[in-house]
Order: sequence, then structure tokens, then C-alpha cells
Amino acid sequence: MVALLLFAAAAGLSAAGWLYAERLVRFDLAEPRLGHVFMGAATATIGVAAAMAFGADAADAPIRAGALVLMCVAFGLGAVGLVAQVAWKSALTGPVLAPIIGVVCVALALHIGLPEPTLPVGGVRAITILHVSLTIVGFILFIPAFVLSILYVGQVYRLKTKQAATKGLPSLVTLERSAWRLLYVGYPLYTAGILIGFVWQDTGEFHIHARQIFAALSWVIYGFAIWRRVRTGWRGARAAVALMTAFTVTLGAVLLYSLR
Amino acid sequence: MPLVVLGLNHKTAPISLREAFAIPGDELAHVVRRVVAEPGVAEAFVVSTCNRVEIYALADHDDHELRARVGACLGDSRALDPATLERHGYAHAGDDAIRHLMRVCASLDSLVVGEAQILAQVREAVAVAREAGTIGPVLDRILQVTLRAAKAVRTQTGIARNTVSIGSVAVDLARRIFPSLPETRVLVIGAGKMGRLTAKALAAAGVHRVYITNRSPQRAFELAAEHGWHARDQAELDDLLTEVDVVITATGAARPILDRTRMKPLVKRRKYRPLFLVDIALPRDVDPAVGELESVYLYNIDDLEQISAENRARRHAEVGAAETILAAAIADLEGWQRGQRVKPTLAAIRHHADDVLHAELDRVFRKQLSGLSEAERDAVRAATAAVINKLLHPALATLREHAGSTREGELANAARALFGLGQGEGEGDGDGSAAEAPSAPQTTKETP
Repeated sequence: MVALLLFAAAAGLSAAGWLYAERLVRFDLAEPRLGHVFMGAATATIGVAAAMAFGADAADAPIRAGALVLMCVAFGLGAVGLVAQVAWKSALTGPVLAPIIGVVCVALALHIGLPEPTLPVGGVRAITILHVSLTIVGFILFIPAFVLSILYVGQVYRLKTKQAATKGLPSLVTLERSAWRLLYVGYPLYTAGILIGFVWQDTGEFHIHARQIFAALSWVIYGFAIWRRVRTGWRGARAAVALMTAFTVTLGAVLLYSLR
Repeated sequence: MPLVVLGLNHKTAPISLREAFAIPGDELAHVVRRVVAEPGVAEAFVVSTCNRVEIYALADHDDHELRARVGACLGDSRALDPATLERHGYAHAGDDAIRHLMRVCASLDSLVVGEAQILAQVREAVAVAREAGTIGPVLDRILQVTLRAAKAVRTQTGIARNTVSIGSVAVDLARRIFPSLPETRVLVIGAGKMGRLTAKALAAAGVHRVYITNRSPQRAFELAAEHGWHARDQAELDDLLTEVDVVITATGAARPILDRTRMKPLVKRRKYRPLFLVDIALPRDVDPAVGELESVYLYNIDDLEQISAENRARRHAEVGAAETILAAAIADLEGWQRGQRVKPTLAAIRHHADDVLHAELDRVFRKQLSGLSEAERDAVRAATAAVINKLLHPALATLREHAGSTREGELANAARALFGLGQGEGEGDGDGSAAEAPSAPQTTKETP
């Protein structure tokens, strides 16, 4: 039941994220009320799921403390995001937070509903270390690229809607170039990490897990963005939103990896 | 000695009057000497800008007759009616005049609050007066404190932080988009004045490559030659739009010359590099739909005006903080002025003590201590001077402390009586009229 509620919340957050992002890239100043409704409903659903997870119903299938904490964090972030959107009229909070909380919900739902088999105990192989290291380094480089993309989209939105600039930020071109440079370095490392993990799985048997799907999906989105960038010089708010989406999906893969 | 200011500015007089009263730079020295030549005026300087003409005079008194004489200095060389100045001008004296000077220098009294030129203009006016020998110790001190306070207002408040002219707003926006203005290429379409001004503001901010294209190539070549830009044929417009980073349009075209259909393929050809479009033309040269394209930032004259108005409002919000800084500077100046009022009494006491000491030492050195060497005499002089200083210190410190208070006159009289000073010595304490009267600068008194 908890997993189902989290899936439902993720669906609501996806809808909210889509509506918010649509408004952002169209540079629309109108209030996205429907987005608020979806975000509010999804946040409430996460709250209910968290309450149930704490309650007696979950006693038969105990949920780990880490997952419970993550559920509470997701609920708190949802509430903050909603307040920021509605009360403070923050145009960026919704498009950034809704997908992230959505991915967290999916990761939690998969972790609770479809638990992965316990890994066999064995020695740590060098190839595993290489796989984890490369993926983590790639992911670490994606973090500042994600932050720079958020700042870039925020500045573009302010410029397009003729609002006062956020003081102290570098120019649009600097933000955008820096984000892509980080991506050019991080993507090959991330690719190598995924490939090594896929080819030499440490279980010794071939399985497709949700985290692998997430990692592959993020790899595809990043790859598509880089391909368009190299081919057509793609940049602008939509390109930045693509990078933000790819990072959010990557975050899902990392969460599933950490929760198993 | 009160500071008196007489003048007119953009708030009190129309531009035609300000033009009539404006003093050309080469006549400023003559006018300021003419002011100091007036009886009762010790020091002066004159500020003349496009928005104000003001005489600052340090006089021994302030009354209507003095104001009329000083005010006449502004008008008589140009045969202007002094009554006009009275009708359209203003006059302040004492603390009000100092406050006015500080507000002017801090650009709180300017047409555009926070603009930087006025401070430089006042500095120039002071330099002219200094050269003419009309700045003495009192005005010098007032100006030191004022200019320091004006600088503090600029650096410690946000009064000068947000740009307000259309050109500088465009420069600010360009800086938000592009990392380096010198590497930015600018295209000016049309020969409109506002467009040229905006391009000049960008060039002043460091842009090296400015192209201009116009329906009349001859005019484009003329403007290019005049400003050091590059003239290009209008047939190359699409290529130019692909190449440049900033486009300023200021044509007289009745319909938009850049529409979405034309610009959409250009955005792809530009590989989505940002394009900053500044449409200053009226009617507009750029279809508003162009602003919806990816990586195109379109600002028309209304958008720039709105940003300018918001920035002006932000500057006005800083006026309170600026006034606080000026109030502290005025208090500092008042403290100094109070100190100046008891200075003659302090000096008289000191002179009296020195006279007594020297007379007594001379007497004993001639008689009882005639056998002392010069080194021994110096030692005796130093020891007795130290004793005198220690004895005088509490009295002098008390006088200084009560300068400007209700007890100032009483204590000054008591000091004069106790030290046996004549009525003429140190006189003037209490009303400040004659105390520390700065010696009038050496100027030739002209017959008006």
C-alpha cells in the first residue's frame, strides 16, 4: 500500500513538474494553479504514505529507517516547494523540486514494493571499485552542472520576463558554458562507469534492476543533449531543463543504489 | 561666520532661466572673485552646471542686503534682473546651507538621484575658486568634510548602484548576458539618435566592434566615420544578424523590419548563441514575437524605461541611509565650528602664559641664574613650560568641552577674568561672530 501511494505521489509530482517546467520555458508569468494542485496532492499523499509506514500496517513488511527518513524529507521538501511557489512566487522551486521529489518517491516505491535480492557476500573486486568510482566521479561532476543549469534557467526567465537580475551571478554565457564543460568531462566517466557495471555485474548473473534502468535513462538524456549540442549548438532554457531532467533521473539511480 | 548659499536649480527654475544664469567655465574665476570682493564676504566658490547655478559664500553676517549684493554677482555680467533670481531661486544660511551643500555633493538634490557627475563638477568649481584664491580655512574645512561625506554616501549606500539612463541600462543587460563586452559585436540598424546613444554607451563600456547599417548607405558611412564604427550594406543584414551579439534598432520604418519568420532560421544559423535585441524605434522595428524565440532577449524602449524607473526607485529608497551619513558629517562639522568659537580665548590664555613665562625666565637668567650654560637654560625652559602646560590643561580642556553649550559665554568670561585678559583678547566667544575669523583671502576688492 505504501509503495502504491508513493507511485501515485510520483505521478502527481511528474504532472506538477511538467506544468511548472512548461511555464518556465514559455516564460509565462501566470500562476500555475494546476501545478500547485498536483504538487499539494502529491505532498499530502507522501505524508499519508509516511504515516502508514510508521504505523502497524508496515509491521509485517518492515521498512528500513533510511527509507522512512527519506520519505519524511520528501514530504518536507514538497511542503517547502509548495509554499515557495504559492507564497513567495518562486518560479524555479517547483520545476526543480517536483521532479526530484518524484524520483525519490519512485525510488522509495521500488525499494519497498520490489526489493532487490540480497547481494551474495564476497570480496570486493577491482572492477567493482572501478565501476563505482567512475560513476561517482561522473555524478559528482553532474552536481555543479545541475546547479549551474538551475541558475541559468532562473536568469533566462528573469531576462525574458524583464525582471530585475539576481545580483552577483556570472553572465548567462558563463553559466551555460561552465555547465556544459562539466558535462563534457563527467559524461565519458559516467558512461565508462555504467558500461563496466553493466558488463561485469558483481552478482555474476544477468539482472535488469530499476537502478540500471534509471542510470541508462539518464545516460540517454545526457547523451541526447550532448549530441544536439555538438551537432546544432543547442543551448538555451530548454537545453538547460534537459540537463536538469537528466540529473534528476541520475539521482534516482544513485538513490536506488544506496537503498538496496 | 555663516555660510550662505544663493542659487537656482532644476526644481526652481525652467531650463531657459538656468541657461541664462549659467556661467561659462572661463568666467567662473571672475565671478567668484567678484563675490569675494563684496564687503562682508570672506570666502566663496560658485557651482555652475546644466541643472544648477549656486554661489556659496562665507560671510560675516547674513541679511537681505548681503544676499541681494551676492546674488547680483550672478546676474550683472549678463544683464539679468536680480529679481528673477529672487523669484526662481533659493537662499539658505548657516546649518541649512551646509546641509544643502552636502545634499548637492551627495547627489540627493540632483535631477537623477545618485548621479556621479555633480561631485566632479563641485570639485572642479572648488579647484577654480582655490586658484582664484577665494577658498580660506573655513570653507576648506567645510568642503573636506562635505566631500568625504559625499564619497561615503556613494560607497556605503546603494544610491549609485543601479543604472538609470537608457544607455547604461542596456549596458547592464548586455553584461548579464555576455561575459566580456570587449568581445561582443554590436550592430546598429538605422541612424536614430537614441540608437546611436545606446551604441555609444556600449562602446564606452568596452565594446570594440560596432557595425552600422542604414537605408541610406551614405549616412551609415558618415556615422561610422564619426564614431569609429564599421559601415555595412543593408543587403548583408541577415549575415550580420547571424554574426553579431547585440542589435540596436532605431530606424524610422513604419513596420517591423525583424519579424519571427525572418529571425527563426537565423537563431538556428547562430547555433542558439544569445542575441540581445534593443529596439529603441517608435514604431517598433522588432515584432514582439521575436522575443519568444530561444536565446533571443528582446527589450524595447518601454522595457528599458521600466527598468530605469525601478532603478530610480531603488536609489530613492537609499536616500534615508544617505541622509544619516550626512547628519553625522554635519554633527562633525558643528563640533569643529564650536571648537573654533573658543579658539581665540584658548589662544589668548596660551599667549598670556607664554609671555609671563618668558618674561620671568629672562629676568632670572639675567640676575640669579646668569651663570647657567645654554643647555642648562634649555632644561629650565622645558621644565617650566611643562609645569605651565599641566596647570593650564584642565582650564583649557573645560573650555573646549563646553564650547557651543549654554555655559560657553560664562566660562569664557570667567577665564578672561581669572587670567587677567583684556576685553579685546579672545573676544567673540559665545556668539561666534568674530571668533577665529579667518583671514580673508588676498583678493583685489573691486568696485561693483
